[in-house]
Amino acid sequence: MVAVVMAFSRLAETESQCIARALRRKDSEFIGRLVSQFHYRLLRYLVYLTSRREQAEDLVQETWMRVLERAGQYNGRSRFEPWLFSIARNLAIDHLRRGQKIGLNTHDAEALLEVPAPDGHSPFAAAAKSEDAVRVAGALAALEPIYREALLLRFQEELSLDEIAQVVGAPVSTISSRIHRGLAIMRSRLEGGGGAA
Amino acid sequence: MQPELHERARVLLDRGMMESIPAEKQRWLDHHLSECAECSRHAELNRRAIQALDSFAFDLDPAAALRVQEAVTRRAERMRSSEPLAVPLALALTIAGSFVMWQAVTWLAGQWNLPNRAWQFGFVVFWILPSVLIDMLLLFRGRLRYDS
Repeated sequence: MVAVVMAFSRLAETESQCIARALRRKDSEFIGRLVSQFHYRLLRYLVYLTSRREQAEDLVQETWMRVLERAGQYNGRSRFEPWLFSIARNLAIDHLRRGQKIGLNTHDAEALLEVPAPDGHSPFAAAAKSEDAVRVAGALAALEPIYREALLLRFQEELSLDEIAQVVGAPVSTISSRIHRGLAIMRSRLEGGGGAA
Repeated sequence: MQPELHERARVLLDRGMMESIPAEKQRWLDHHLSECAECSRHAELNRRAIQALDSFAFDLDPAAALRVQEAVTRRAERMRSSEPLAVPLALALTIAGSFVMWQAVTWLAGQWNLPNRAWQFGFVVFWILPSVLIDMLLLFRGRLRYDS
């Protein structure tokens, strides 16, 4: 009887709750599929955040290790993506903090994300696959990471403003402003008909 | 056309990119866009900007992705194999320890002629409750806050 009830309750589980349960149980097969499923999106997010392809690749694995360590903190009541991206974001900022060897609060640490890639090669130029994308690649690379991040999370990850606010740790009004600003810059680049980055 | 109408249209256009707008406002906006080339262009540029973002595709190294997957699953397996022992062990030690302490305290109380209720109350407050609290902390550690 208990088994039947449990089976029915499992059927009614959301995807988020399945993920939470698998993470708590350290279900390696499920987690492996999860890693594969989110690999590209997580990498893309970290590239948008850091502008450094190589660093983003290193941070992908570290993000998942931290997900495993903190599995008990995810209860499946909200979507998995905001939690995953918030871990990745904090990890990226922690790395930059350590590199600077100074103590910073999170808001000051966000400024570290604005340091351009040392070799000057933008990962966005290489990733542009359309004429308009080529036009905005330069603007995207030059855009402050907090605006770039907001655009990605809203329009490509399709997170709500509340979810983005949760990831970033900023008010919804701030997120809205960042999206506005980011879009305005993209529009001006498209309107100006700028060349490739 | 009055400037404030254009401003209103652009505010609605930008807001509509982020969240749904009321049907009445959407109808107003649609009507305005049908008559205003400038605001239509603004809408078109918004659309192209988002499409441009969707046109970025980062090349993936399948071998690197597989390495990450394998490293993470190995770590999950190691964590799973070590975790089950911690909580049952803590509970077993608590129960066994409580039994031993109860026997010891019962004997001592008998030696000192302590009132039963007094030493039993003390045993619950100074042994049972802290033990239960520690076990609860062990069981629910890591679930106390949402990571952010």
